[in-house]
Amino acid sequence: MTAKDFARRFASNRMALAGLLVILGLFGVSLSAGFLSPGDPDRPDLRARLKPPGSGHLLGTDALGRDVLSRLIWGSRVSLKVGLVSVGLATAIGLFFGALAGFYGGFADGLIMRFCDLMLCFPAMFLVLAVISLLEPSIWNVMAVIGLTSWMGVARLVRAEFISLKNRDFVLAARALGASDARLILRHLLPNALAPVLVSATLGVAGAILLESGLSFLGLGVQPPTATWGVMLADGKDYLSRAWWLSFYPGLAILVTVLSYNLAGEGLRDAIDPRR
Amino acid sequence: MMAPALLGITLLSFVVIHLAPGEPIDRMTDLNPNFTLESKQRLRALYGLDKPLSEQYLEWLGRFIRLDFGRSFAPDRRPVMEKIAERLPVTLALNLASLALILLVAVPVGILCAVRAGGLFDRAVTVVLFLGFAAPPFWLALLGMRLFGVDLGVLPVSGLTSLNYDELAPGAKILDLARHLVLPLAVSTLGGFAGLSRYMRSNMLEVIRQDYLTTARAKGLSERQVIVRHGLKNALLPVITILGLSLPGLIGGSVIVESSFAIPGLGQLFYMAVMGRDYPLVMAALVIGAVLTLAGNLLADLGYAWADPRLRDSAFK
Repeated sequence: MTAKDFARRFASNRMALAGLLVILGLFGVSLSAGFLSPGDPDRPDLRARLKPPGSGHLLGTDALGRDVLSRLIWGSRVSLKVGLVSVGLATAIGLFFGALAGFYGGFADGLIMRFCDLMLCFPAMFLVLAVISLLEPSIWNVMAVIGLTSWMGVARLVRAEFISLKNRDFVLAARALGASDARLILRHLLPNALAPVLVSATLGVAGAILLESGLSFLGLGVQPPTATWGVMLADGKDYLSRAWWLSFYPGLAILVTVLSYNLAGEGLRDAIDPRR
Repeated sequence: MMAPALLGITLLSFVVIHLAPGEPIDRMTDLNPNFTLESKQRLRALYGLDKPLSEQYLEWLGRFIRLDFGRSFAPDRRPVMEKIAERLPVTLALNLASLALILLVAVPVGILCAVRAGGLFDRAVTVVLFLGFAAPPFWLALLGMRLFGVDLGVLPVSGLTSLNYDELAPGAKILDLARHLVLPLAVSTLGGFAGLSRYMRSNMLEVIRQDYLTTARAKGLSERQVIVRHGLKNALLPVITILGLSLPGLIGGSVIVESSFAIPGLGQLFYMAVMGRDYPLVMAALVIGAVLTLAGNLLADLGYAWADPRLRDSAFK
């Protein structure tokens, strides 16, 4: 399968393409937040508290008179950053352990996979909350904890790929030519095992964004006054009956972002493996 | 298999909590001007924090076997086990109810989608499922509260019972409880529902292509019989495993559902413990959450072996 085939198959899936475009758009928005944002996301204006969406403030203002649209735009940075960094971390750990287990098998495999099973016994939300409770809640801790508790799926995937690849002729040939273990893993096996990892990473970003916003919603993630979608939702909770827009728009933003990652991820999977 | 896994769970929980920088009692002592270094040492001795980690773990494990998780750090200082025991039934009942709901709705929906794959119903359901999968549960909770609690005023938005619950007649009590459960159940069901119906759909699609379904049709069975008697049974088997796998998500999700709707369950207790840095309680809830998952997986394995005749003959004789 060439890259061109792959791109064509991906592009023929309209939903996946739409997802990818929205993701790119979101990155554009968060990178140019300074330009796009109509106002200062953190500047309170007590004369304009709880203004409904409309003139002056397109999506209304919150209880301190801060512009909801501006906060949404700046908040996109946090969600995208958390998604990328925590999934990057999880993927790196998963690749490392999965490659070790799949390549060497035997004792290392048993140990790593039992550890995986063990980690999977813990409800992710419980594990993350327990660790966060001992640390200061901050964006870096949230990213680290999400990354450290979500690598198991990648490890299993990579291990399965390695096991099915490691006795193929091209690997045996490279081994016969005297390639070292490290070279076999990095140059011959890993590149061929990356496709499913990419799919799971894309879907993983969606999960990480949901988890972060959940933590921030509970008050244990990114701390106010930083504008993040989860924090905005939590702030809006108390004004549910008076100002629906405070919680509606941030939730919608999360929904659209997570949906886009999921669609793009599924599209990637279908493009990589058209049989499914 | 259970025993080593249990041991692993306790060890991992212990390590996780002790590897994190800082000590649980720091939160009690650091900001309190009345605590001298000396009284902090006394507190550490009281909680056994001055001993080596291995010794602390063994001591904790010894108490764990007797289901003694120590006393809560919260002002009431009650035994942790007591606090958990009074809340566990609520969470278990909620999660079992949503599991049952998920099964009841997702299985038929998945089948209908697979039977007419690509049709209008299939496509409409796919859209709804993707939305349900991506919607943050706490947002759905808020929207539900606003729509049904505030705008329409038809459903209560918090707690399990109304204030006048004790004065109600038995029939009205059940109705009151049911009304309180509608929104939390809807929210906790949606995510799992999306996953399971998509899974059911692809299973069923797989089964539909099998030769034995063609055989069944060739025998002259009605399409309904072909799907229900020959297709469904085979497509349902793997669902048992998925149900077991969805358990951690449900239990973890109860933190958000229960704290959104003020339901006095394990999830809410855990959340309050985390907020109050109530360390023995956090630890106990972490272990119990994992044990519940483990038990769920074991039940799923047993259920699978029981439901699959190929396995049943070897496993249960």
